[in-house]
Amino acid sequence: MSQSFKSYEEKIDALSEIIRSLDGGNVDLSASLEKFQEGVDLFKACNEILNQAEASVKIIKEVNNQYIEENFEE
Amino acid sequence: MKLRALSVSEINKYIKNTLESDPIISYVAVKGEISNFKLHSSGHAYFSLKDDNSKISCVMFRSDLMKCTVDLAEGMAVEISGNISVYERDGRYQLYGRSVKQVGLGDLQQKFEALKKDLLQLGYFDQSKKKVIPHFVDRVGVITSPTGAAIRDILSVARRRNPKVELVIYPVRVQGDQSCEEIVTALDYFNTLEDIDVIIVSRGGGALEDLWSFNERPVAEAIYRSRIPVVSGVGHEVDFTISDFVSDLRVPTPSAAAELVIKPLEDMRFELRQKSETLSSRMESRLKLERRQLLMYNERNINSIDRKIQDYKSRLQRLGVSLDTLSPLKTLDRGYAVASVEGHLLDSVEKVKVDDTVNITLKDGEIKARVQEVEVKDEPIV
Repeated sequence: MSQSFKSYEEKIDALSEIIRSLDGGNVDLSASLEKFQEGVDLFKACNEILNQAEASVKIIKEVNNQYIEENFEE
Repeated sequence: MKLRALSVSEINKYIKNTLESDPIISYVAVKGEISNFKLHSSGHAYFSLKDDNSKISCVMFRSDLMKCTVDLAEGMAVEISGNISVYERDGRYQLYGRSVKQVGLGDLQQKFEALKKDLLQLGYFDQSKKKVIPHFVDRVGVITSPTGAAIRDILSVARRRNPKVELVIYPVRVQGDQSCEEIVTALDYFNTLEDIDVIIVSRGGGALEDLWSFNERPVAEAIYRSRIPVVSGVGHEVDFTISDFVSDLRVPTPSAAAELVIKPLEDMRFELRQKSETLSSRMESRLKLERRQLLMYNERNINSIDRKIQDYKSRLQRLGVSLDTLSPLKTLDRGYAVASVEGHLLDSVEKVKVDDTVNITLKDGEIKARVQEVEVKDEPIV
């Protein structure tokens, strides 16, 4: 599952790393452009994760020795 | 009547034998407060037991001390069982303690202290065994009563912070006879699932008896063997349970457990927005620098560098598109439009001819327009 908060950390870290690498200008322009494009893609991916649909609360029930998850009603 | 004088050794030996033959003194429990406590380098402990009016010397040998479930300390109220005998060399009688019970504490507290000491020695509380609580989670297992205050607190905190994180409740009784077994089953069940990132074990506050399930050995063992990190939020700030010690992280309340596990979505949005702005501004300033350099090269050696400039120009164009996708509202909101022909950004009238179709992107949509006329200005507008 790529659309997960778990994968978010890795992406945001990679984005920070790209921002760091763009600082200074030691890297040549064409590499910088590639990095930038990579950064834009990471931003989009992160944004998508933050915009995912809300999750429901589940409760586990045991039915005939099988565990099932049902929506939890408060 | 003339008495035969006994040597000191003889009389001390006699007293010792007399004392040791007394059925009460040979196995007795004495309660009092520990004072003058000294733990000798040999591992034996020497101290006095005293009450308001009197005191008695005590010794506990290393081997007995090791078996004891409480750590003796100055001022502690204890009940010591053992025998009383005479230390012949000094002519001093003393209590030779074999076992210790802390008094002023109920049975449960005793059990608690005993289990705590035992698990501590087994390494259950070692920092090195603590699993790391992940920064970001997708699915959180919650072990608690589905009707208690704890679940309400956890849900309200979780929904408020990030409703996109999924909570999976394993309902258990949090006190009473079956409680311990149910909590263990729940912990083991979550560990059979692949996608639970962290487990919260929780219940609201209560008396020691009410929290007892969280002080049971099987629960401690289930937390210890869990491959998924466990956060324990049992009772109030002042309540400590064995579960708290074994878990990978102890938090004072159920709400605090949810706060710790679930990062606010708003903070994540804010951080991401900041990063995207930094990314754009870094690239923009880099490009400005590059433009200046290109202009300098251009003046010096137009011909040889011409191809390179063309190459960079087309890259810059593509980049322009990227910058706009990154923060399209910034420019479009102000009423500017982005015009393109066949996917290429339009930055000169020389790139269109009459009857071409031009795509114009505005903040709320796109226009396809046909070119009627192309007019070149002698003086550039920008």
